[in-house]
Amino acid sequence: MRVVVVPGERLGEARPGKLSSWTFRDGDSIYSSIYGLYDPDKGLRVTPIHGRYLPKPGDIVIGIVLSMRHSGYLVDINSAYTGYLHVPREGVRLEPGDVITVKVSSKDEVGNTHLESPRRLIKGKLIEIHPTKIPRVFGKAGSMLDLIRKGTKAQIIVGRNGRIWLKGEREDIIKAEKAIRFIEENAHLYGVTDKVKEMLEGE
Amino acid sequence: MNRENETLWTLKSEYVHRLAKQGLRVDNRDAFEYRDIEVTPGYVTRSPGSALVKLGNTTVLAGISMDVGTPFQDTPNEGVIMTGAELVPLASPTFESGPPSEDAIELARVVDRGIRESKAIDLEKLVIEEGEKVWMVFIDLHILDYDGNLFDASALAAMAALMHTNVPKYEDEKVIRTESSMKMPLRRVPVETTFAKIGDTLLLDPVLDEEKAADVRLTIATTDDGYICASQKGGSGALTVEEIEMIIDKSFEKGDFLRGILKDNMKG
Amino acid sequence: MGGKSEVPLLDKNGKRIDGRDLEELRPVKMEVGVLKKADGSAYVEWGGNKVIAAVYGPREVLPKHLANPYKAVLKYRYNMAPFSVDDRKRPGPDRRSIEISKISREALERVVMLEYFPNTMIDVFVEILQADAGTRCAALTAASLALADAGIPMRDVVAACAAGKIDGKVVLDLKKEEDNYGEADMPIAISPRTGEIVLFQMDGLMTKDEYMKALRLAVEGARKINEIQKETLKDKYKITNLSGGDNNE
Repeated sequence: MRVVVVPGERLGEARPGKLSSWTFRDGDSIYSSIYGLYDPDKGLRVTPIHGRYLPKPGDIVIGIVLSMRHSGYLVDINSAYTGYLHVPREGVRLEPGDVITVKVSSKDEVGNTHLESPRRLIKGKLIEIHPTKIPRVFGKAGSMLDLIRKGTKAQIIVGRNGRIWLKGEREDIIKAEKAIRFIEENAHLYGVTDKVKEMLEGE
Repeated sequence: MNRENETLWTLKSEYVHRLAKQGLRVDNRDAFEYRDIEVTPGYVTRSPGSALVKLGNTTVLAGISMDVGTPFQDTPNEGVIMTGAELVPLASPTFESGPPSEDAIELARVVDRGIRESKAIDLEKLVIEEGEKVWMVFIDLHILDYDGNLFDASALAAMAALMHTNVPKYEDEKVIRTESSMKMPLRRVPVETTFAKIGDTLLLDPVLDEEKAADVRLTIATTDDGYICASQKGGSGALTVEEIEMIIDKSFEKGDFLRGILKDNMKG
Repeated sequence: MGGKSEVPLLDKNGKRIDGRDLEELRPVKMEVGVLKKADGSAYVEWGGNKVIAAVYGPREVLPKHLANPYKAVLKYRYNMAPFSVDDRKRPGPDRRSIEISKISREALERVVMLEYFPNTMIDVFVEILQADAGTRCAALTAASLALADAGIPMRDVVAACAAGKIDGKVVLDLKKEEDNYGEADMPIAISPRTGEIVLFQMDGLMTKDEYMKALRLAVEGARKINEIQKETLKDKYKITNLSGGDNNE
């Protein structure tokens, strides 16, 4: 059973091994460090309800090119940390304002974030939701995203940093965005998948 | 602060912590012992009152200026006190010129509270014409050398200065600074005692290295007749209720010690 | 503290001017997520106090030279709206606001896990829209909620409360007239999980017994405030099933 926990709330007894996301140890107990969702049946870890995006190596994100710098580009990735994309001279040419998908290749202890594998996204619509709700948009093994893709026929690219790119017919984009916003608002509840199915079939 | 300075302070802090665990201090004092204190009242002869205080190497000059003005609306039969503090650049490599920093503001307000809340000055005696004209007492703290614990040194300097202040004369709508109408009317003798927590050890009168190593300090203002009149916790650490109680007990004890020094200086 | 009240602060039954008992809190209401633009926000009504807190961050540090390569920089700005008090307060930071901002920031630095976000800044802004004594406590209480709402990791949710002395009696949670005409005021804040004191001030005249009684009373009051904080955070996301099925997935 999923419950809401607050910072400093005791989750259980401390166990040996690495601490899971958003928990901390004090004495013999493990506590939540954030305002989030906790399911004791799924292990001693907390899922944040809100929070700005923190780059993690391996994440695919949607960035906006800010400027050229040395032999690369500074890219806004909707985080406190600006990403740096190194591009060799023969590589892709980007302009400030370009929307791209990139992969976070590394992040050091002081926050310098490096990006790689850029791909430009042409036209389409860019929307932003709370990064903490992105896992729900993907769903278990990508099932929710599949559902939306099939139900709208829109091209959808989801960035871990809360940005989602939509492309297609106007009605498809509107339908997809509506479903995504619904997921964002109700991410903490049960039964969301069924409701989304209903929404997509209904129209 | 640049990287090298930070590293230096971290090393100093670790050293202070290590000493504290063994019950030792950087200057070999006891946990609740003050550094050598020197009080020189009347240091600035032109102002109505002043005092220079040296607490170890920390040096503070308190000057009292007086002028006639209008009282506050809600206290028409009381004089006015205003306290300011300047952490002038010559006192420390870390003080910059410019508008008062939050540290300077905190210092002035905490020293002010000790004097104001204890009603040390009999403000009713500073009324010239009720609701219209009252004496305004400006207490200005000028920090000359910063080696830790500005609170206690400043509060002591302010009190010493007040104890040696002559209120000018007010005649024919003019302030006559060359003549005195009365000594500053005082009812109580508040002093402040500051404690720093290093790990789990409480230390009185932190010297600069101890102040930087501590993550919490508590300043308590006490009066000669057994009251606490102000308290201020500073720093990003925390205190337990038990530690606060212990500090209160020590504050009365060490407060009386400071009051003794002020009394000794009255004869001078 | 100062001046004399025309009305006695305690009546012959020992009740206060608003009918409260000596150790009774004023009514308190809290809400989180009240602002759209901020990363986290909260609104608190506490007696006649109305305060709103917003958190932005972690975000880029500006000016750049203030950045700390090891942890986030926490900033706290307590500000009173000009119309929040009877005698209009000139807009802009005054010495009192600067002092309150400093000690409130220090209180939060004890619990916020700044090490998670090196080279960033977390901004906490609190506006006092209406003041009725105890504003710094209401402000810090709201700020803690706003930080939680923003998803900032913390070791605890800091709760604040004040105690004081009126007509010779130690009381909890002073209102405006009691603060103006009373004999002492002691605002505090705690980390409820450990009970340690993270914000602590006092002004007035108290004996040691009165002082310790007020301190313990304020800590108890802060714990009650923390219960309301937790309730507010948890009630916002009541976990139900949209499709009427079981709560499992």
